[in-house]
Amino acid sequence: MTRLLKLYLHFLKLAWMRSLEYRVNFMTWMVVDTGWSFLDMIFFSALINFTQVIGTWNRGQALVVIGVFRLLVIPVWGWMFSSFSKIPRLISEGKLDLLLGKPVDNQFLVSVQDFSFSILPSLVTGSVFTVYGLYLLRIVPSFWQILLFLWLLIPSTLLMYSLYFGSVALSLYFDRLDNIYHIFPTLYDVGKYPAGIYPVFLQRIFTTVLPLSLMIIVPAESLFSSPSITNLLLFHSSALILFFLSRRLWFQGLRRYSSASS
Amino acid sequence: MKKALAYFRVSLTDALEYRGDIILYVLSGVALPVTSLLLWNAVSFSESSSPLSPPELVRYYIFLLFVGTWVSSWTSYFLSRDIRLGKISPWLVKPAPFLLYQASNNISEKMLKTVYLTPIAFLLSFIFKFTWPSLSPSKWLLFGLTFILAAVIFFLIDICLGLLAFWLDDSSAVREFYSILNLIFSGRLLPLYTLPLIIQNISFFLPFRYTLSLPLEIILDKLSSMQLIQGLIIQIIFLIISFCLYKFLWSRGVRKYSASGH
Repeated sequence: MTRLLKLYLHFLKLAWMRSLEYRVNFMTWMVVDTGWSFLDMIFFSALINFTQVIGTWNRGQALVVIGVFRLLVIPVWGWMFSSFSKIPRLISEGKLDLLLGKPVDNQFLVSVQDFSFSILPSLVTGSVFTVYGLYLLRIVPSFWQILLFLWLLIPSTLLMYSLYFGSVALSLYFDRLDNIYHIFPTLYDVGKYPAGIYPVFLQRIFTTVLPLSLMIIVPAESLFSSPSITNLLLFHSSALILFFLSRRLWFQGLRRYSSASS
Repeated sequence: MKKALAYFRVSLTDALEYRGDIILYVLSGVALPVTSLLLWNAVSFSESSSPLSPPELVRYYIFLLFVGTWVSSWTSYFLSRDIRLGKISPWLVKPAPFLLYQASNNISEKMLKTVYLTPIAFLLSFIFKFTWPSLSPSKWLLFGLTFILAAVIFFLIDICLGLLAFWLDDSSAVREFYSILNLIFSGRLLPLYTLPLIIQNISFFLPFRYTLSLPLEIILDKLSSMQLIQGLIIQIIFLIISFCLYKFLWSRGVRKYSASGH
């Protein structure tokens, strides 16, 4: 575990050096990331202009969810998208064996290929949105609530990783699915809306089989309400189960993989 | 014409070879309008004063699926990559304009996407109880004309963004920034009628409204005759500007361009 952590820190250092190679581009991407945050705010403001509630959430609750959404954008777009976008091409061009031949867990290697540091402004905008949402709710979370929230970001990230990695692993089962890595970020947006807006059958899917509605909502709701122990246990279990399923999918898929003599 | 048809056949064959990728693009493109429609449905069921009625919102988003598909372009990404890698050299000596190939490729893929999109749109029309807009024949004609102009303007602007690679090492951040502005001011994220007045007023002077929102506003039958004519004239002006910009950037860029080994 320590070895993997050291290796990851090394990859992060390389990613940081790559980011700073083209500094103007790096700064521009930080501006773009801030622009995406403002886009979320414009979308939210336009909707809330016409109603006091969105689904079952009032203004403050919706803003907290958007804030947590932006915070979790960091692992999704900064880490996972940057690394997973390379996988379908590695598979279709037969270059994956360069990674398979290394003496490290190959799922770990393909998962940590890159990190985009220009996503970090979302840390600021996400925190601002969350704090402002709590201010509108007139809620000051207790120390234990904040601790629970920070802890829930971990299974939430694990859940997102499992779903995203599982979808990208499908590239091993088809001839060419170069764009598969775009699917999850599209579905990730689904998670920032209340499950109540979807038809009942989709609500069931988004809270059980594909728990997209839980990824962001469970940590966000921990800040302004008390989650039940049952729901927390279900949340953690689904994160672990999906992680093992996605890992199994990857290794099963690798048996079908053949290289291109790289 | 023969060259255009030849390019079209080649692009269509290429797109048909890997149908999975196209289907994924179609599904990604459907997610945002469907989620927005579900949100607006939820808003309209609460106490709200939306500027568009529920049937109008359904009409807007169902037509957005098709108009949005045809008013889309991905050329800038591949063009900037090819310029950076020196792969546009063959195009400089071919007897057919570079723009002709890109346009043929664009149209062929969109035709295939429309085929996959149609059953999805039918299903969504049934679920959301879509009602066909009752427009006069002249308004339908105007819709068709503004639709075509919107697609051409968007395509030309996209090409111009790709041509920036002649001067910039990495123009991806510029393209992403353009995407954000496009999402806000074109009506792709939310109908312009739902946005604050200042954004609506700014949108009149930017090309984005004329690349998506204008045809959809005609469908909603919200424009007076004077506004229709005004919109059409401004679209033609933006078409001329974007074409002249493309010619300028291409001629200057090619002079600056150099590649090795081609």
